[in-house]
Amino acid sequence: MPERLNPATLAGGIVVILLGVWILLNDADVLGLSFEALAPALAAGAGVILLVSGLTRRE
Amino acid sequence: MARHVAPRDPGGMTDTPPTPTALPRLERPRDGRMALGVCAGVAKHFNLDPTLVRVVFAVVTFLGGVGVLAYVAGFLLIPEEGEEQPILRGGGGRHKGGQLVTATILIAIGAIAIFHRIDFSFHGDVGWGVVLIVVGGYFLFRLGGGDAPAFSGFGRTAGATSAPDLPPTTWGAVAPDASDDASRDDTTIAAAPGVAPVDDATAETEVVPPATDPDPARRRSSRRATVTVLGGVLIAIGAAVAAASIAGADVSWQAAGGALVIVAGVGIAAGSAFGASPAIVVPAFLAAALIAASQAAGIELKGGAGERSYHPTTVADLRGEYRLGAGDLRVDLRDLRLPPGVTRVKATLGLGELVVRVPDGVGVRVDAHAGAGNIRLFDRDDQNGFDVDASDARGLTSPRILEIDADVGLGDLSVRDSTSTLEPR
Repeated sequence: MPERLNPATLAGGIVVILLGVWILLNDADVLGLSFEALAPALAAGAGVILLVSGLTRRE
Repeated sequence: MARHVAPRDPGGMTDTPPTPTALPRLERPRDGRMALGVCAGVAKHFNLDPTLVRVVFAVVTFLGGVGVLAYVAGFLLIPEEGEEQPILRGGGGRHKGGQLVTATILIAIGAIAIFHRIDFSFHGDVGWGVVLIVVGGYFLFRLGGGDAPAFSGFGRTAGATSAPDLPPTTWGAVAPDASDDASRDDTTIAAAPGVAPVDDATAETEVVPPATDPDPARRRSSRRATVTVLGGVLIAIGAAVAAASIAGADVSWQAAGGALVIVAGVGIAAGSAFGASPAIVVPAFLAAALIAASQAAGIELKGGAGERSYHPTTVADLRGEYRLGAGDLRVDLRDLRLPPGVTRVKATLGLGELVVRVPDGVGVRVDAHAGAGNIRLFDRDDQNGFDVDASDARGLTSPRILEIDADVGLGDLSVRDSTSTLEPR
């Protein structure tokens, strides 16, 4: 692990990548994207970022 | 991290620091902010009412979208209260990650704007694309070791160096951080009388040891590798989009947006290895959420923005599809002389209000969809919510049938005839 790795930033990057993949999959009609699914997904993504950020600061 | 703010007197001569300006330091305050503190910071700096500044930002946002860019630039360039440097700091090593992410996002937006001609309502997407690519290239150039002048924050502590290649100043400086580049001035910095140390952990230390980079070769190698990988990703995406454009393939803006989000995510993940601040995730996450939400609503941004009214009277004047990205779209077919048979008309609006008026004495079949919003067909009750579908048919025994396929991503959709008494919302 790089010495200066920021886990919260890394988690944020991964969440953003997953959102981008979902958008592409929806555009390709592979995985549907609806408000009903998007809202909890965004909440979960933000939660993961905040959780990692909080856990990192506790260390 | 120990930092002293102290004047420097390398040659035994004492220079008088410049007189501080009367204006307070331009920074994003932690209190009193509505979002990221840009407007509050500008208002505080110029002693203005924050509400006035916010209104100005809102106005220029609606006048072509420049306000959004200005706000993002302010977020990146104005340091937060208590921070010495803005997120986007040139030269230093600590914020290389943020710089890298910003460069990646700017170049990706520019490439997509040029090759895909997304209508960002900037009235000249190619020009904006070129500007974004040039700015992004500037940062990549600096990241790759170029010697372009460093970006500096506004109103920082006097004399705080933002680039390691700048000559040492003879007055107030920030002690080099151990994580910064090794080329920083080696002169020891003594705390001046009356200047309180920032970090009490080193309050008793009068001399700060010179900064050293434990492995500059490794750092440069890692930097080159990252730039190479991201450059390859950008070139691949740009080439793919350009090839699709040349081949005439219809690449949706959603696909382009998804690719942009992925590139941003890769840049952020890569930037995390360089210590990029988690704050850089916020704009990317919001942009991704916005694109995803617009896609969930089925918003199609092609077609421009504004108010469009169409009033065809003959089939020759009739378009197969009426499209608008955002605004008010009104298609008045009341005076249209339909030929026998079925005539199909499609109306698509990304964001706003769509009104279709149909002629009397013909059969009408309507299929309407709203990603999020309200649908009113003739005098029927409104249907609203998310993913709303509605249909209606009347007078289908007529030899002349008008089929309407209407779609609104986010907003109101209404189809009216001469008997409709309810006015469009």
